[in-house]
Amino acid sequence: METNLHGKTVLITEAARNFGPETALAFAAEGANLILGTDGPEEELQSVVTQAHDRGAFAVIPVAWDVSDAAQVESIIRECSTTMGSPDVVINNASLPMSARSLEEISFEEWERKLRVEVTGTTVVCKAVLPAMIERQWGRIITYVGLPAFLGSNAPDSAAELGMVGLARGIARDYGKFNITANCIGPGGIESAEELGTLSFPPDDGDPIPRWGNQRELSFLAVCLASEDAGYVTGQCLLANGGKYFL
Amino acid sequence: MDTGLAGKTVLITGATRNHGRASAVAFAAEGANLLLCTRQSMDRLEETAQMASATGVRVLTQLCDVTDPAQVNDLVQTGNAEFGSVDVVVNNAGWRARGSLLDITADQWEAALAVNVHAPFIMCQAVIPGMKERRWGRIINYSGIAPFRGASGQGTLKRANEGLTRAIAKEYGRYNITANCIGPGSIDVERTAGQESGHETATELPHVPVPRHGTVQECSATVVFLASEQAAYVTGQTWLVNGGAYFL
Repeated sequence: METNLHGKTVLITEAARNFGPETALAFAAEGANLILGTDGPEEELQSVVTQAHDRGAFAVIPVAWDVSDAAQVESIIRECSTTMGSPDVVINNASLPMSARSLEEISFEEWERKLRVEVTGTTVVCKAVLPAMIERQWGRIITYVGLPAFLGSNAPDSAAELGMVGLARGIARDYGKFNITANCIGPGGIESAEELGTLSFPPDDGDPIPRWGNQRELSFLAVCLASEDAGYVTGQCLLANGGKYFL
Repeated sequence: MDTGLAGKTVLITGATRNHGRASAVAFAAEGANLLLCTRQSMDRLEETAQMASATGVRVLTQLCDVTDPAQVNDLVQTGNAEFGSVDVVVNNAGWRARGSLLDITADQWEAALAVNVHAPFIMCQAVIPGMKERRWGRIINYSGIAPFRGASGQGTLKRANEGLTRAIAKEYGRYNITANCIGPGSIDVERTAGQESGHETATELPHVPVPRHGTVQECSATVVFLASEQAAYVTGQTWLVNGGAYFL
């Protein structure tokens, strides 16, 4: 499949955890340049940076950041853009993991922090990359949400994830005329090295596809949505969940 | 239809006008007692209270900034002390972040996030323990057409509110507590200066299957139904009242 992603710059907001590393490698295999973020120490990106070079990425920049800090995000993106061009594709997957608890047990501060990182943080990143996308009349914004957005889960996960679905639709409506698309991918039951708490949905015999999904099946979707030929798909949420939930 | 709401206590935020006022009047007509709040205009809130109390129900009014947990807890305590319970909450207070993503300032975003998303969270935390104890509760939040037609600010935040609603539905359904959203479309409402969208007037809307603006009374009828005894098996949903402008 010709994706036309060779030489494009792909920003992955969290590339050290969850589905970030596998997504980075999928774009590396397409010959994209990568800006790989993490909310932890930059060293945690070392392994994925090395593998991305091996897979075919032309240039890779690791960055440690807090996506909810607008000044920091703008400055890092500006700096990276001078060396490899501003991002053509953004994968929003920054998250603030929080153990699943009852609504009554969550403090307002925890709730606020979750929404600040995941919802406000995603808007901050999108605001930082949109002007250059508009100028070039090309852009792809892809946000990983999850099954909690649709099945319901604990309050912070559900609110944050569905909020990001709303954001994708808003960007889709406002910026489609600039050839910028915004979509979500909703993984559910994807095998992951991390302990994802309620975010993991183990296979159930009642599922249409009763097995774990693998991360390649997910990153394939991200690459598809970022490709040239996905230019008419926007504002959508594609669920990769073995049929656990139908939209 | 007997809604089972007579004698229940209904808390409505932002009840000074439009949806909040119409809901107050509609619940009063069902015999529910009301606890109404606003963060700015007590005069207008008292007008609403007068309209509602004409039906003979008890109506209490209180100033409350719904983004402040202490004030919200105080409001709910008033309801418990004066009426014995808060059975239905209508989280109607809203604040619009208008424009495309690049036009929305950080301050506008924070203000809209606080009123549209944080406030319902704070309110639900305050009322759910009592609802659990009594094994009965109805929470009604406001979505809109923005999350479905796409709007960077309002669409994101109203959609987040729907996520919160689904989470409450999932967690508390076993206690006979339901949580739903109403999603008004183009409704003929009065707007604050600077918050106009330019299309909330009673003109025709030829592209909509029901080619006119809706009324706040049509929305409050849906809110009353979602709060009724008969709606006990409806939860985690968003009911669109939009003349067919968008189909789910």
